[in-house]
Amino acid sequence: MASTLAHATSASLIALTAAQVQPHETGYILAAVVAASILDLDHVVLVVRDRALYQQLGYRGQLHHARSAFHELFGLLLAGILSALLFLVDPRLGQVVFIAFAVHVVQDWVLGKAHPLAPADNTEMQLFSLTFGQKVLVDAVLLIVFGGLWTLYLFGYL
Amino acid sequence: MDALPVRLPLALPYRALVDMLNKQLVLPKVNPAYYHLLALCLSVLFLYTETPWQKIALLGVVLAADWLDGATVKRHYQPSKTGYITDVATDRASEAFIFAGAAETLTGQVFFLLWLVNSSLAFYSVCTNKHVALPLRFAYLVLLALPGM
Repeated sequence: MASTLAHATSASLIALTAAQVQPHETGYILAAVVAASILDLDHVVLVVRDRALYQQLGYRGQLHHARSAFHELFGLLLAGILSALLFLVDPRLGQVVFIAFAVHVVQDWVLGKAHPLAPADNTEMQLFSLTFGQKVLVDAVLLIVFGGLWTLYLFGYL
Repeated sequence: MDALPVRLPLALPYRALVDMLNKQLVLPKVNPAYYHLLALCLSVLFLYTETPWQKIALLGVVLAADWLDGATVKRHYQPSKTGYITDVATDRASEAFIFAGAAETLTGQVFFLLWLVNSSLAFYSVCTNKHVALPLRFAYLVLLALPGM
């Protein structure tokens, strides 16, 4: 899984550019950044709850255990229902929120271990078996590339 | 190994046709995850398409990648519950991007609502061991290709 900062920079920018939000529309930008990163709150809750376990196991390579069903298709479905309601009020806001959330979920599916149909089925999915170093590299590349793209976006070049 | 959800009899003629076509394909032994990744990346790219022909072309490649991953698994690997879950999850994620991108139109919003139903059906499938899914991307492709859409 990627870091929260990498999610916030990449998922939010994908949502903003896909929905053609202009750099001065700060409300949409805030919504995109929040939707792209809020999901990781479940890591905090679960790591604090299970801190004794993590002190034994260590944190590296174990944080996929600190994922709630919100990080899976169930969460995507709930975000879809919320966005469908937002479409009635402000379709672009619905798009921004849903796309940012969905990109975060899919990034974690691609980079780490997941249980996509939890809580109904706990079968584990792992698309690629990346080492810790490879995950750090992907995270760094995401931050550098999307950091640069954010700069271009804010100056009106995207 | 956990049992795979079985397909409904309604889907069997279609599966028979697909299996027949699969036998004609030259399929290299690659990790099916690469096809999933390709389909997901192209589905994100779909958010940026503007003309119907761009959408049709991209959707065609996404569906081809989805077909190839299934055909590769059948040819070179043992179908498993993990593979089934991976396929269902990546298909629903791919649909999520495609229909969220189209949600500024009424047709797109209808398909987005159908995606909510399809995602719910994924849970129904694993709970009942009966695979039920709507071919939404294919239906959307057909709709895009219709004159006047």
